[in-house]
Amino acid sequence: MSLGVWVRSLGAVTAAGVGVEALRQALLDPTWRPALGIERPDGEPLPVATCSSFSPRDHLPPMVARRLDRPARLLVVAAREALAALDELDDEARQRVGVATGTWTAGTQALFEVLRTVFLVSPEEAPPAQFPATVANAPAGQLGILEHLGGPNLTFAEKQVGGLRALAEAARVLRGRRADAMVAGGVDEAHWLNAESYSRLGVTAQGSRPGMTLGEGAAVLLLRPQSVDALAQLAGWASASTPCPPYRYPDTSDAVVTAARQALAAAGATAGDVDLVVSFANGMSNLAALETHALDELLGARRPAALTVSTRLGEGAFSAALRAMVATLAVAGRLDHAWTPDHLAAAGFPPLSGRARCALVCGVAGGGSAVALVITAP
Amino acid sequence: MIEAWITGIGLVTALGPDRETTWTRLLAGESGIRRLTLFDTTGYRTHIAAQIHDLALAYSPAPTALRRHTSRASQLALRAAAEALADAGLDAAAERSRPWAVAFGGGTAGLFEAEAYVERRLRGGVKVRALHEFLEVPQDSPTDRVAERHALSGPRLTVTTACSSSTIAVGLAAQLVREGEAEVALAGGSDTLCRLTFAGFNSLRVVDPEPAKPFDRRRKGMSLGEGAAVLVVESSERARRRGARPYARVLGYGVTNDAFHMTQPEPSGTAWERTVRAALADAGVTSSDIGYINAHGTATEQNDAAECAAYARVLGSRLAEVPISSIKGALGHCLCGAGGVEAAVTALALARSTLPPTAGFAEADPACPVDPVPGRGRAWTPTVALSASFAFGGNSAALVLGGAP
Repeated sequence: MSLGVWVRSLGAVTAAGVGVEALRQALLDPTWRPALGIERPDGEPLPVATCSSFSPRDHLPPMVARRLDRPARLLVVAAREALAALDELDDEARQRVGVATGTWTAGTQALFEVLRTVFLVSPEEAPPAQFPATVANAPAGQLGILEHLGGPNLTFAEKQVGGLRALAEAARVLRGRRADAMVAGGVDEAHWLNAESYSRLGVTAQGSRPGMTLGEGAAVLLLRPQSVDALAQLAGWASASTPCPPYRYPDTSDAVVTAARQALAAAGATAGDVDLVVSFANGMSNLAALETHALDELLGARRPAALTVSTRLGEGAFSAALRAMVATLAVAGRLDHAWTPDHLAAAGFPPLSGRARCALVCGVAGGGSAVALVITAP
Repeated sequence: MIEAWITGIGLVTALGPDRETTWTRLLAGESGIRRLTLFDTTGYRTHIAAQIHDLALAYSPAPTALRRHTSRASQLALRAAAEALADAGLDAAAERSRPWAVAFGGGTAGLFEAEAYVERRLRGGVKVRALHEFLEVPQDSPTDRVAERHALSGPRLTVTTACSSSTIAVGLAAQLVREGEAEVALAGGSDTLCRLTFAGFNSLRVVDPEPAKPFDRRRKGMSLGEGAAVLVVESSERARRRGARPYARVLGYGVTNDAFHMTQPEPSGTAWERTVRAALADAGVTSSDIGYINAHGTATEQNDAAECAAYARVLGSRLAEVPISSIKGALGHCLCGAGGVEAAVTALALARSTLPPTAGFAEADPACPVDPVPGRGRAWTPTVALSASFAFGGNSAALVLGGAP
């Protein structure tokens, strides 16, 4: 079944810099690595892939920037890059443009500030200006306010796959004719409290310890139900899950395989059509093993090209949307090689070489929810 | 055509640990708002909330391994989910395959527990080690816990749009069912009281030191609350096959953005009118079909006036004829769980031909010229009902529910 949802344009702020071109240039450089680090008030810095070169002053008027917290700034700048592809929209048209974001960590700084005041100063002194930014939908809400976007405004919490969920549900919104366009993707902010907590859980890379690297950024895909000037088609999506505790990856690849098969079927494609796999591995060995197993089950002996994003730009809901963005660049002919995931290279998956036609973008979150997208050349 | 039927309801609220206790006390006009004891409120501007006092949080029959490190929010969700499934006559464990969906509104999740860790970390520095309180901070944790407990392998969505979260979740669940992506979806949400929201809403000066009085001339703000609601949303085909009788049908939903202000409603009601009209259009009904509105009704000065302005635009001369009640005077504002609780109560109102009252209402406000169903529950003839939620960020949503066929 063709769903009739196309990617019109892209916008990004990542550790690679501001804009999709900065991301693309980084992907084309096999040696590129982000400078890692986030300061703690009373400990050694922790390795996080932050948007260290991002300066709101360069992109937002001071009066706008001052009322946005960091994730809202990241999302607004990324969204404006994507929205620039649309012709001038009047107020009526903007009422039919919606927003869908996934986030894992947005609001952490504001939350920390409120709690710091409550515990160390007085509950009565809790900062009213910070409190609204503690809600995870603040970035999407601020984007809607700034750009006068009156369509559905949705935010999804699904840990590492939030960005893929947002894209899938944005496509559902368009298919249901609830909006004429959707600004969809993910956003995350870096905060030392998250980095420290996940570090203590032993799941982040540190020193010689393998693991994931948390990331920061925003990735936006502008989706429309028209193919005119499209970069790619979001041809299919699906989701499934494996029951497990919220803080663990599942032991099996069942949900990923089920979601991928359903997404391919929705796209009118088969596993044999897939010529690019965008890896969801993030440096954790159990997730790499899960992905390899899932691809073996799904593809058999076939070995399409594979590329990685999250191992270098960091893990997060935004990173899931970045994977869809990179798939879009690959099928649009704007990316002919990129970073290769070590575990898939070891399993015989070749690097991207030339233009892809059908990309499979999957993800699985702690807790076991899996989402799959199929992105094809327009 | 496949319809989305509500075939089971589970509720945990300040008025009771289950659906029937909550419903009975709600109709009696009782309020669950009283002194907040979940944490020390010394230094806070207000001291009351709709706290769940009489619930032993050890839900049954969950295994010990699952109970360990499970947050208060997850435990509420698990209890509501178990009640909803039993009410629907669905024994998840007896099903051979359970590709059922879970769609919840995601609120503070494990934040109440994590706050204790944050305080220790702030006071004790980098050497503070305990971390189990941090495990359920992600807002989809209650969703994961419910899916884990009942071994559900279908789509799993957690909407986090502040106070409209679980209204949208119910709408999305119904859409999943109508579109055939899942035959059964557990929909709703849970949210618990915590220091962050209590201090935050107090800092905005929108909390009434006395129990909330929605639509009342004397209203001074909201009362915060906590609770969980789970609705079993089932395809009409499946429900018919097994002879299940629904409480109500989810006819449609609307979701829009005010694009006005992060915390203030658009005062003329035009933004929320759009939300309601989008819901009516999705449901295939008109404003003249609406027989009852379960309002957002937070009891803040601005919300109630803007909300009534929106309903005036939608209902026109029928505004005073259509009962519009808010259950937040009884259950408090359960934030991300509120929409689910209100959808559940609206479904019960349709099934039992009785409208829930607005607890706390006594004096009419010219800015809110509606019939808020004062006092106790009232008999009515079920038609079509609306359940609406409006949230931070301008996120607005409305569900349209119809009576059982």
